[in-house]
Amino acid sequence: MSSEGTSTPPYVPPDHARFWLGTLTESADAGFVGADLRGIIITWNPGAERIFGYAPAEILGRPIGVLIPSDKQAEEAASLARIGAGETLRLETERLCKGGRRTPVSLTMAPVLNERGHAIGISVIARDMQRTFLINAENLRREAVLRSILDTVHEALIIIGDDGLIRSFSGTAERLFGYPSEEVIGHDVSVLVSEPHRERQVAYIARYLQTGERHIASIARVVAGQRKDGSTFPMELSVGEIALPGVRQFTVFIRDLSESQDRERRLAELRSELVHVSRLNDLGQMVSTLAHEVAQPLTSLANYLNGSRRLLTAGKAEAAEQALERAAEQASRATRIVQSLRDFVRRGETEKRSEDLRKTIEEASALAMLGIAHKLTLELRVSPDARQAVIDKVQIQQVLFNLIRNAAEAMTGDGMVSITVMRVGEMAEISVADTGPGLGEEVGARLFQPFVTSKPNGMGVGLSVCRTIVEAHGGQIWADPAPLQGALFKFTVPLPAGDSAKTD
Amino acid sequence: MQDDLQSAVGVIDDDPAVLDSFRFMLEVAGHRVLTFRSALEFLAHTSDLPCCLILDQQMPDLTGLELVARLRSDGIVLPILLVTAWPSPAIVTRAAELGIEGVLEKPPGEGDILSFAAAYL
Repeated sequence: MSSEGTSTPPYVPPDHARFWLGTLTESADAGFVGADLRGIIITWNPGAERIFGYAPAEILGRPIGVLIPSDKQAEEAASLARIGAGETLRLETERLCKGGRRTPVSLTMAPVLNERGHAIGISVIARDMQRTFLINAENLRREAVLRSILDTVHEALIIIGDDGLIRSFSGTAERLFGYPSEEVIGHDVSVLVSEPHRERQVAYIARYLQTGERHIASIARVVAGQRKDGSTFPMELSVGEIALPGVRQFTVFIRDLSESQDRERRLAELRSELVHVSRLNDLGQMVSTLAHEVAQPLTSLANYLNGSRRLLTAGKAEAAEQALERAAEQASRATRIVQSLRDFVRRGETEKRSEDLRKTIEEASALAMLGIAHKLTLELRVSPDARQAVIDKVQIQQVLFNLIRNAAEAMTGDGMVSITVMRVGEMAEISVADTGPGLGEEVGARLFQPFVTSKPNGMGVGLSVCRTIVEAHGGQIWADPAPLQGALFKFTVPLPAGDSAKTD
Repeated sequence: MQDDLQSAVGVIDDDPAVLDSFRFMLEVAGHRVLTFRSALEFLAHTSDLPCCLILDQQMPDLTGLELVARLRSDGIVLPILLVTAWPSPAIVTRAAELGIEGVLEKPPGEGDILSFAAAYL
């Protein structure tokens, strides 16, 4: 061996070596036990005393067999035979402590050889496994508790790694998604998310990893889940993080909103959040009240003007003058009504903010799909230059809810709803297309008027409310002839100011 | 007096400006006009009926259609033109059931009003 690769061992005088060994032996946590060939204990360190409870005076000179439980005698005999043959053994077993208590130990047993290589006894290094055993038992207990919780709660639990791959899939999750756990573990979590949500889902996790911020963790989100058979259902996600040294995983609790047990309650909650039903009715009521209010001065105005024209034709200018004054009063009255309406809308403008259209649409679509029994595929494409729009999110979600719900209800069997967002000039154009039967010609022409409907139980208020909302945003709503089949609705909402100058 | 009433057009509307404007327009066109601020006010005058009635639907106390129903059940028949800002299918259907001559959306056209009045003079 070359002298360059190894350092020369430092010289330790032979009488010093025992001091080193002595201190090591005295201070070790492990128990050091030496026995001669007859099995008589001849060394016993403080570590051994801590594990087995015997003081050196109580144990030195006694046979090592006092530490061996009766059912381990055969194992010990076999061990001794192998050590006698020169082998070093490592084994986990049990030993008896002072007073007869059994304790789990990990042992390293080796023959002690003299200068001629003859065995003169055995050395035993014993490590107390009591603590490890307790930790393991506690872990097993916790795991059992966790498993029973997971089997009991309605939520499905999945654990995903920071690479987006599924690590764990609870029994509830298996039933919910229709996948046995072995088919999804190791696969990307996006297989569980319906198409239009996939990109975003992955983006969430990526963003989380980059910034370390809990963008999703504290907020439950509603997205469309996808089962093995391709059908979709609304699910609510609650995401948490497991952060251990070297391990970063996410726990995702999934609540199936289509499950009848939760559905009614959750529907009620979500509806009150979005004020769907009440606001629809309020708006319908408001529109009808306003129509009446404005019609009154217009009626008077028309009557005064028509009479005045007749008077003027007959050359009675003086009589006409008085009527024209009254007409002007009625015009002012109409103006005041329009102004108060404008004030009302302006108050509403404080609610308008630049909102993420994808998120807005995803939330509305998840809600609109609640309770739709048949299999529906939802497709969402958002052009990169139309990601944001200045909207009252709740109101625009009402419009989306109406259009998507209409589409979903129009299709009695399997079908598809495609939502596309693209930029047209200064506006974001959102189109909602379905593969249903489409619009009848008669209905098509009067679509956005109140009380026009093709639905057996419809009120015919929905689309007129949609128009009111969209027009209050400065946009337009219309139905286009669908390219192939089904209905195609489009509406526009304004892009954020300054966004128009941007080019992608 | 009887002849005068027989040749008058009745107008019922809770809005004074609307009522006044109808009176002006119809008078300029050569009609005699009787105006009423409410259905109840009109019911107090059923002993002397106008030749025809222009009736607002949306009024407090008694709506236009409720008034017509009351008149019909009392056996009172006269031509009626219902005007409303919101001619919903329900209103139109009910009007047809009651045998009302016509339903007009507010603001009504002068031609529609005058031809109605002229037809029943």
